[in-house]
Amino acid sequence: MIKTSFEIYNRYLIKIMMISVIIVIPLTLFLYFATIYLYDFMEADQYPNLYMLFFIIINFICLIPMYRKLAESDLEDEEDPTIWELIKEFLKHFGMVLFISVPLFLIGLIGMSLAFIPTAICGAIMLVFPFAVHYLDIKKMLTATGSILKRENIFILLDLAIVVSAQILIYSLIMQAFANFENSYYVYGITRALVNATVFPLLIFYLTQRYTVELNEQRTEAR
Amino acid sequence: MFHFRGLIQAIGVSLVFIIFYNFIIGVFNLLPVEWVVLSTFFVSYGSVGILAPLWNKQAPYTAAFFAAVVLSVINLMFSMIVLRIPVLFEPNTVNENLLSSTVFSLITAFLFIQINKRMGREHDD
Repeated sequence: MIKTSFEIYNRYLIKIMMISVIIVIPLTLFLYFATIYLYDFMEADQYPNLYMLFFIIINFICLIPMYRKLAESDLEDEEDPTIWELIKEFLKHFGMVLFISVPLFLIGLIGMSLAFIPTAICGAIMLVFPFAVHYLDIKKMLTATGSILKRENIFILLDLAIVVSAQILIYSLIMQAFANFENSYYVYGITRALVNATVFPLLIFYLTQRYTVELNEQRTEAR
Repeated sequence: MFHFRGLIQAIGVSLVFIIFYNFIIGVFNLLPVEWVVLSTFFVSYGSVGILAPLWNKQAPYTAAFFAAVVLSVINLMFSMIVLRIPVLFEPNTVNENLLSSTVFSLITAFLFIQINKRMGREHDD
């Protein structure tokens, strides 16, 4: 799977670079500056850390439908999507992703007192549902999410750990290069944007192969 | 029939537009504050008035109305929770806000539908 995702990454390198210049880097910079702004003017009883966590999660989740379409059109030998189509895919599914992930995040926050069990379940659902968000019917979307959850049950948390740890590892490795300089907010923000632009496509291609394509194969075998 | 998904799509796209527009204006310091507020009003509710009928062909005016109401409620919630302005203590302001936003988005929806009919476009996404 990792080899295939590297192949897809290699094949669509120019498209991925264009998309990251148009969408991924401005989105990451905006969210990073938004967190700095919130830290500046919020008081301690408003918990700006939670807003920061939500921004980081949204930064990954928003980009999933776009890259999923790119990967799936390659894996199923369909026509290559143009850059405008991918941007349209991002804009279309942004509202749905936001609408589902905000209540899940709130449930996860409130459920932290119950030994983190609702938080883990909500994290798993938040990782999985953007891969099914392209179904036009909401009910069908939820059933697809549920079937992925049933099939993969506890290994989704492993995927979550892979996503988080890969980001932290690469970010810390890159920050070693800047460790001796006088750093400002802008350096951290631009570094994080570049890391996101390079790492997110690989992770999303890998997760797409894990979740959606196997599901389609199972369906065709069942018929 | 009313499509819930089209409503959410329109709201999400208009949120992206608002974020992008305000980010550009705030970074480059293009306008004074009053014009920022006014132009943000026009951009947000105008885009909702155009996009909600686009994804809701059978109930365009209902979609525009609900999208404007949801956007203004999101604005009120944001200013209450994040900025800590007690908005709901002044019912007249809330009333004016809801009225102006819905009227503006309905007017843009009406103009958009009329223009679309004149140009004879049927299928566009």
